[in-house]
Amino acid sequence: MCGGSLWSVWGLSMQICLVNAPISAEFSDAAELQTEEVRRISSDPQLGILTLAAVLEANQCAPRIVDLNRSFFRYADNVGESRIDEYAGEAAREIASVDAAVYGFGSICSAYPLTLRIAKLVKAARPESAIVLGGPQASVVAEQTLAAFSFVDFVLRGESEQSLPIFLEELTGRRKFDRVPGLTHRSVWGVQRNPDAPLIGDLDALPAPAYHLTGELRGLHRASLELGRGCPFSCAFCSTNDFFRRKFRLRSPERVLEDMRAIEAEYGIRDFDLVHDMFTVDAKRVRAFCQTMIDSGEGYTWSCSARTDCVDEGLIELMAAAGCKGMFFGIETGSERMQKVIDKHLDTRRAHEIIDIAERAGVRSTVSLITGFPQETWDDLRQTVQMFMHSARTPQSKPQLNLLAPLANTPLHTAYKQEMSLDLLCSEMSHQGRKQNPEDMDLIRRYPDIFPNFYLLPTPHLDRALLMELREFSRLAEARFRWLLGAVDQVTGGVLDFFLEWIPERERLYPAMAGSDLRHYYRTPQFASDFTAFLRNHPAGDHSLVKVFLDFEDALSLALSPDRSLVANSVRLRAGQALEWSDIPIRIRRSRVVELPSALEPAIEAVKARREHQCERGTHYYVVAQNSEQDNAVFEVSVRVAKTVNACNGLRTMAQVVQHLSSEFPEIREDLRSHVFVSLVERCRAEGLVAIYRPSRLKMSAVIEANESQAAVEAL
Amino acid sequence: MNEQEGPIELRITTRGAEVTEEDVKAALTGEFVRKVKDAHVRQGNAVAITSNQEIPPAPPPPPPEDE
Repeated sequence: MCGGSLWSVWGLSMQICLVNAPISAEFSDAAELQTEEVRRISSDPQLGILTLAAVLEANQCAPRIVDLNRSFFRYADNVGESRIDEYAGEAAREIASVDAAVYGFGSICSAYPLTLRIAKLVKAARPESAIVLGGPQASVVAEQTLAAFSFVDFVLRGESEQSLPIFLEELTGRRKFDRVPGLTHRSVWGVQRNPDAPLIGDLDALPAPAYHLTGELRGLHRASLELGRGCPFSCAFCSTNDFFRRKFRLRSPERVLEDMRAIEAEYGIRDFDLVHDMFTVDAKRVRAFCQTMIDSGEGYTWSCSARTDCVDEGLIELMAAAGCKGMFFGIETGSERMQKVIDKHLDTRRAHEIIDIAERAGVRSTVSLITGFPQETWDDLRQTVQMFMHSARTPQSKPQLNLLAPLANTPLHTAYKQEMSLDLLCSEMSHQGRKQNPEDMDLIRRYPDIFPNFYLLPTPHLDRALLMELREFSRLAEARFRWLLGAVDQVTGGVLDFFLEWIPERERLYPAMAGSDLRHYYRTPQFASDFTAFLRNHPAGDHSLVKVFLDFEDALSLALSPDRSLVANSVRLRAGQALEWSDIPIRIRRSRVVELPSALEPAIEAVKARREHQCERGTHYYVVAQNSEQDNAVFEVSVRVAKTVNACNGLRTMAQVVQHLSSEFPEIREDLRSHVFVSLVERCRAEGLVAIYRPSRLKMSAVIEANESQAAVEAL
Repeated sequence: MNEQEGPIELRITTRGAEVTEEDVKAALTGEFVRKVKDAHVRQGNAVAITSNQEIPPAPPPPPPEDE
């Protein structure tokens, strides 16, 4: 824990309640909220609040933390979508139930309107307590926030590990707030902005985040861990310099390793998201970090952020050897011209190479791209989409196309703040869900200076409605069928031109669709169905490469899922347990069997390498089985395995499966059939594609009845 | 054909009987289950969330026994 005296001011006896930013509340659509992906990403521990809590503990204070992300999910699960807009009241009740003298709220731009609405309700419930805001968003709009919202008492800007104890000392003592660095507060002269708090030079002296206060690492497979602060670059769209400044700082490799070991000992976690806006700035220090990881022999895995001009093949290979499994590359634009305009200055050709190098080294890459810059032209956008597709063709790479959000006080915001506009759809930096809460929207309309990230900048050379739809189209098409999209890109003039052909079809199908309904449409299976139908009638649909993936999508949409009604509440048999003829084998993992007139794998390889496809005609069988909540793995199987999996539809007993397969494969010698087909069912069970259940006698009579009526129907 | 009830008892002998282990093995030769590399499929409602951190793939699925 904290050993230095830097933040040990004196024993703080007051009760302090810290509240994190409610990222999860960005998702208000019931279907989205249920997805494992949304729950995972929005439940990441917020290191700022946890580190401040650890600092307070080092000051003999016992802070309470209210975790609004988990609270939101609990609320959503209980009340459902219809009352989700009332969450602020529920959150405020939970927070105000903590008897505290100070309520400290973390902030990020996307959740800032909700944070303020909750803070207002907490102040109403606890008028004698102080409401203090901190974190990235409140820091950059501190004066505007205090001027607009009387229920906010203080904003503690920037890194607050040193200034928070000083502030609390003044709050309980002499109340000389002028001496608190980084504080914005009210005085008789109005809103006062104190000089910035000094940066924390020695990050090793900070205590480890107080994960124990929330228990949020329990059950997780991965933990976030701070690697350092400060980015020396000054990209025109980025706000990190306002908070962490440009002074690059790293925690020592030994200290990071110590924290990893402590987290493993407490929670069993061995995979880490190492948080730093730009870890790879100093290659020498990255090498030292990697060497420490390798020498430790711990075998921890981790991911980090990187610039494509700060890494090379040797460094990426070393990082991979040290446990690096993923890198986030903010490439932003595929256009050399725009790289200069936005002060990013990456070599885009080199960026392509680095994505490939990471792939070869076994490191996943996230390629983040932005469209919607005021200076951007169609040619620039075309190059950005090409970069997107390069990532989409790379199996371990994940492209993101984002719409530019003007973050408060960034050079782009300052230059265009008079020209911002509000639209039905906005950037993910503001809201990722389907609908923005109406009360949030009211605040956003009234205070554009406080919530500029919800606005859009002018795009005089581009149609902004098209950009917003392109974002939805590209990301959801890539998420659903990246190889089909890659094939289309390869055999047409490119995905951007193809998208422009798709738009009239979408408008014909849904002429009135706009805003959140449009965003929602791209997330539904209907989009997939409309898109494949459009492609079937498009010249690209006749190309053998595209046809392979279209056939696959069509076959998959027709394949039937098993019927689980007869095995519900039955006993599932363990591997090795003796079987009975009346047992019911059933496909698991929602697996479906598809039959294709050509092979899938050579087509995928052709898209990956962007080369000519040699179509191999001949029947191929695949089983598509659920891997995780949304992802499905694809297995190529022999014809008999395919028919066996298909036969295990949940409506047949073992005896009936054998009978069914006997008619499918009459060429198998009659006395061998039972042996062969039972072995095939066992094989499918061993591969995790089939489970076997032993139904009750009552269920059995239902099975027999069901099969008799099916047989009767078939006979007709 | 098989009986509809009772345990499955398939007798295989090494020699001299009607069904030998070699017969069964021979009949099963060529059966395969092979994962197609990089062929992931997403279905149902999809989300495409963004993050300024690398988003790892979903943790491995629970063993089939947990379904």
